Amino acid sequence: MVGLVLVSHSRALALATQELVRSMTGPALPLAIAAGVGEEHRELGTDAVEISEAILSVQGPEGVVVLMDMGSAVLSSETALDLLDESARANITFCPAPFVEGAVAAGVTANLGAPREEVCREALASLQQKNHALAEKSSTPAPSEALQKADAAGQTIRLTVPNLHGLHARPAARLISETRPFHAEITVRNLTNQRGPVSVRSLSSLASLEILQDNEIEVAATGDDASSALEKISGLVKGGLGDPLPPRNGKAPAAAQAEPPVTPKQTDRGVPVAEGIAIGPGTHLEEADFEIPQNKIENDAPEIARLQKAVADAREALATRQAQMRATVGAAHAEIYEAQALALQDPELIDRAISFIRADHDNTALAWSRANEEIARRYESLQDPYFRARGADMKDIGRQVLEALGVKRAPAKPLSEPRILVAPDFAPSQIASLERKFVLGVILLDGGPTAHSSILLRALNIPTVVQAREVFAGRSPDSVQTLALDGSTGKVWLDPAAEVLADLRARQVDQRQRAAEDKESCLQPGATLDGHRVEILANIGHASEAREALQAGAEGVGLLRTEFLFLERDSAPTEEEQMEALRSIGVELKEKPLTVRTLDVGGDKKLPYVQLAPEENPFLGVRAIRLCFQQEDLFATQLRAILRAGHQHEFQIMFPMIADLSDLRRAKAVLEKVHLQLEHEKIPHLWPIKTGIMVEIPSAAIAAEALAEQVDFFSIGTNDLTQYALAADRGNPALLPYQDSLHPAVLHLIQHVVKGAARFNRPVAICGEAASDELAALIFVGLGVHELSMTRTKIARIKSVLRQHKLGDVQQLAEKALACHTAGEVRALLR
Amino acid sequence: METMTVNSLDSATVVRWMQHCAETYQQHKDELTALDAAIGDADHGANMARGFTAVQGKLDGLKDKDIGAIFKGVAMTLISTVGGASGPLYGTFFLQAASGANGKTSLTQEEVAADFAAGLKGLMSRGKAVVGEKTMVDALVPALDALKPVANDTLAAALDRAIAAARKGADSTVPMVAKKGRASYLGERSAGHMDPGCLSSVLLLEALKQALPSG
Ligand SMILES: Nc1ncnc2c1ncn2[C@@H]1O[C@H](COP(=O)(O)OP(=O)(O)O)[C@@H](O)[C@H]1O
Ligand SMILES: [Mg+2]
Repeated sequence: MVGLVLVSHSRALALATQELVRSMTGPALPLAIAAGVGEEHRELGTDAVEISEAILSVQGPEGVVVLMDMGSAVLSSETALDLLDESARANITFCPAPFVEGAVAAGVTANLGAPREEVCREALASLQQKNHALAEKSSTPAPSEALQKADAAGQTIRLTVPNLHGLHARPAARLISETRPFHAEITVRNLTNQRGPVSVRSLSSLASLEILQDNEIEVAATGDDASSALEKISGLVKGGLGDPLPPRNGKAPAAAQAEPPVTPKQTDRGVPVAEGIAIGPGTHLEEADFEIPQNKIENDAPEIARLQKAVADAREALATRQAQMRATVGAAHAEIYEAQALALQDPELIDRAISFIRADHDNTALAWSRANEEIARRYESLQDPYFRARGADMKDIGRQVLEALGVKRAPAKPLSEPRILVAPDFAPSQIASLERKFVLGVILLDGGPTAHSSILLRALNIPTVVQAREVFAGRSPDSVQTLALDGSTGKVWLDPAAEVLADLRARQVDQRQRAAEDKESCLQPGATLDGHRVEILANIGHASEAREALQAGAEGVGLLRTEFLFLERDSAPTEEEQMEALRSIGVELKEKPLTVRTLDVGGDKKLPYVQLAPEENPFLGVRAIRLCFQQEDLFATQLRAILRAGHQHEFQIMFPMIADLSDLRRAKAVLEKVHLQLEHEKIPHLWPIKTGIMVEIPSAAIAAEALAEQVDFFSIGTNDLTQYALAADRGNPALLPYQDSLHPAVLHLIQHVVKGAARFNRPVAICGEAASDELAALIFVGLGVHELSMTRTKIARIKSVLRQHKLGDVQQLAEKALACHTAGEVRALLR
Repeated sequence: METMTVNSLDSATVVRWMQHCAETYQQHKDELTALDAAIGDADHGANMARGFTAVQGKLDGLKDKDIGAIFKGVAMTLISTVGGASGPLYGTFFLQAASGANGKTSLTQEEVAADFAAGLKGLMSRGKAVVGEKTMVDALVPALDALKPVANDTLAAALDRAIAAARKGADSTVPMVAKKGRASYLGERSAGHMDPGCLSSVLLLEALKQALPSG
C-alpha cells in the first residue's frame, strides 16, 4: 500500500489531520506526520530530518505520497529528499494538493490499494470538488477514469444534432461552457459513427467524435444534478447551440459546403511596418523553433506544479493579448483568442501531459509538447474543417505554454531559397541571424510597429507587416502556397488570384525602379527643391557600418551608438579597444562629421560587469547618462577614448538622456576633467570638442533655451521623446495611436527645441526613427530642423523626397500639422 | 611588531564562528523578528536563535573534526531545528559547502570563496530565488562575489568587502516587492522594509569576521 506523510508547520494541525484521515481509513494505512520544531515540536516550523524519517517509516515497495502545507514545508520536504539514499528517493511523490482535504482524499484512495499517481490525482481533485461546491471555475483537470462509470450508471438521453456543420468548434465550446456549472459527470457518445463516450468537458474529445449534421448522439450523466444537466443540454442542442438553425429538412447549399464560413472572422491586413511589396512562398518559423529538453526527471510533483503554473501564465498572457487586440482591432478579431483560451483549459490535454510526467518521467516541456502534438494531430486528422483549424490553435497554445515555461528557441533555421517569413514575433537576435538575400518579406502574427524588431526590419529594407494574426485566423500559415504583402498598407494576400498577383508584380517593379533612381542621385547633398540645405546623415551601430553609410549617401554619421563596444562581453572594453574602433570610423569618414553618443545602457539593456539594482520601470530608471554618473570610471574611460580617437578627426560628443541643466553640467565636468588629465599626461586628443545632447526627455525639450547656451548642438531622439511625452511604452501594441512621433504634442516639443536652439544659433538634428519617415521628414524640415540622421537604407529615398518639395511648402505643411490634435490627423494631411 | 596576515580558515576558527553566530543571533533576535513581523510571520529571529543555539550545543562533539564534518553537522542541525524557510536554506548552504571542505582542517582564501559559492549555489537552487526577489539571496550574491580574492588580499579584507556588499544588498531589498517566501503573500505591501533573511546573512558574515584570529 502507498504510504502517506503529512508535513505541516503546526504539530496540532498535523495531528488533527491525521485523526481525520484515520477516521476514514482505519489503522491499516501507513501514515506518518512531520510537523513543528523546537522542544517537543511545539513551535511552528518544519524539520527536514524529521520528514526524511517519516518517509522512511511508511515507505514500502509502492512508495510514498507526501502532502505539505505552505512555504518552508515545501523547502524542507525537498531538502529531506537530499537526505535519503538514491534508491529511497525513487518512489516518492510530492503532491501539491490542498493539505486537509487532500490528505483525506489521498488516505482513502491509498487505503483502496491505488498506486501513487492515482492517490495524488485524487488528492488534487479534492480541490475541484470544493471548487464545484462553491460554483467556481475549476483549475484542475477532472479524473478521466470516472467517465466510464458515469456512462454506465447514469441517466441518458438521445439527441439529433441539427447544426449545418455538425457540432463544430463553436457550438462544442458553447456546450462545454454551458455545462460547466453542473457537478454531474457528463459524457457524450456519437451513435451514428459509434465513437465515444468522451467527457463533455474536453473540446478535443468532443472533436474526436466527429459529430456531423443529423448524427444521433447519446448524452449520459451521473450525479445529483444529472437530470437538470440533461434537460439543459437537450434544450441547447435542439436550439443549435448558438448556430442559426437550418430550414427543416434543408441541406447545406453546395457552395456553403465547399467553402465553409471561417470562424473567427477574418481580416486582410495587419499593421504596416516596412514598405515594399513581397510575393513568394511562405515559411512558417514556428514549427521546430523550440529546443525541447529531452531529459527525464525523478521528481514529478514539482514538474506538474511547473506545468500548471505555465498553463496559468499562458492563459493570463492570452487574456492580455486579447484585451490589447480588442482595443486595437475590435472585439470580432479578438475572438480567436477565445478559442485558444478554451483549448488551453482542455482537461484532456493537461491530463495527458501529466501522465507523461508521471509515467514516462518526462520533463515538463517534453511532456507538454508531446501531449500537445498528439492532440493537435488528432484535430488535424478530422474531416471537419473547423476542427482541423483548431489543430492550428492547439499548436499555437502549445507554443505559448512552452514560452511560459521559458523553453529556449532555436536560432532560425537557415534559409536556402527566398521566402516570406511568418512568425509570431522576432527577437532582434533572430533577425540578425537572417540571411537577407533569402528574405522576401516578413509577416509577424504579433509584434508591434515600434518594437525593436520592427525598427530592425525597416532598417534592413525588408517589407514587413505585423499584428497579422487575424489574417490567418482559422488557417495555418503552412497551408498557404503563395503569400503576398504590401508593407505600406499592411495588406496581406493568401494565395492571391492571378490578376491580383499580376497587379502586385507590376507595382513591385515600379517600386524597384524608383528605388534605383533614388539610389542614382543619393550622393548629391541633401536639399529642398529650392536649394535649402538639409544635411542627411546616417545612424550606425557598429564601426563596420561607416563605409556602407557613405556609399548610401550619408553626409556623415549623425549618431554612432557605442553600445556595440560594451554589450555581449564579460568585462568592460579597455580604452585602447574603444579607441581603435572609433579611430577606424574616423579613418573611413575622413573629414565628414561623426557624432558619438556616449553609452546608453541600463534599464532593459544590462551589462554583466555593471551591477544594477533591479528596477520596476527600467525605461524610467537608471539608464544612459544616469548610469554613467553612477559608473564614473566606465564613463571617463569612454570619454578618454573618444577624445583620443577624435584627434585629427571631426568628432563630436553627444550625451543621452539629459533631463536638465544640472545633468549637462555634470557630464561636461567629467569631460573637462578627462581633458585635463589627458593634457597632464601629454596625450594628444581632440580639444575643444563639440558637445551636444540628445533631446529625448520632455523636460530637456522644455528647457531647450537654457540648455542651448551650454551645448554646441541638439539631436532629438523622437522615439524616446514620443514614448515619454505620451506615456506610451513603445513595445506595447495596445498603445498604437500614442506611439507615432507625428503626434502634434511631439511636434510642438520639437518646435520649442528649434526655437530655443535658434536663440544661440545651434543646429538641431533629428536622429529618431521618424527622420526616415517621408511625411515626418518633410514636417521636421518645415519646423526648421537642420539635419536628419537615419538608417542608411532610407537616405536615398528621403533625399529624393526632399528634392521634390520647396521649403515654403513644407513650412506650410508643418504649420498645418501643428494645428492638428492627433497623429492620425497629421498623417491625413498628405493624403 | 610584525602584523600577521590571516589567509586561511581553520577548524578552530570555524568553531569560533559558530559560537559567535549563536551569540549574535541571540542578540539580534528582536531586530530580526521585527523585520519579519513587517513582511512575514515574526519568527525569523526566534528561528535563527533556536537553530544556532542548537548548533552551539553540538560544537563540543564537532570541534576536533575537519571543516567538512563541522559544516555537515551545522547543516543537519539547522535543517532540523530552525523551522522556517531559512532552515533548509542555510542548511543547504552549509551542506553544499561541506562537500568542498571534506577532510580539510584548513581552507585557503580561494577555497573559502569557492566553497561558499558552492553553498550559495545550493541555497539558490533549493529556494529557486534569484537576485531581486527580496530574499537573503540579495545579500549573499554580492557578498560572495566580493569575497573572491584580489591581488595582495587577506581573508579579513575580503570579508570586510563581503560584509559591505551584503549590507548594500540588504539595503537594496527595502523598496523591493517580495517574489519568494512568505513575504510574497503580501505582494506590493512587502515594499518599504528590509528582508529579514538579508540581515541574518549580514550577521553570519560579521560573525565570521569576528572569529578570525586578530593580527
Ligand atoms: N525561496 C526562498 N529563497 C531564498 N530565500 C528565501 C526563500 N524563502 C524565504 N527566504 C528567506 O527566508 C527568510 C525568512 O525566514 P524565516 O522567517 O525563518 O522563514 P519563514 O518564512 O518560513 O517564516 C526571508 O526573509 C528570506 O530572506
Ligand atoms: Mg518568518
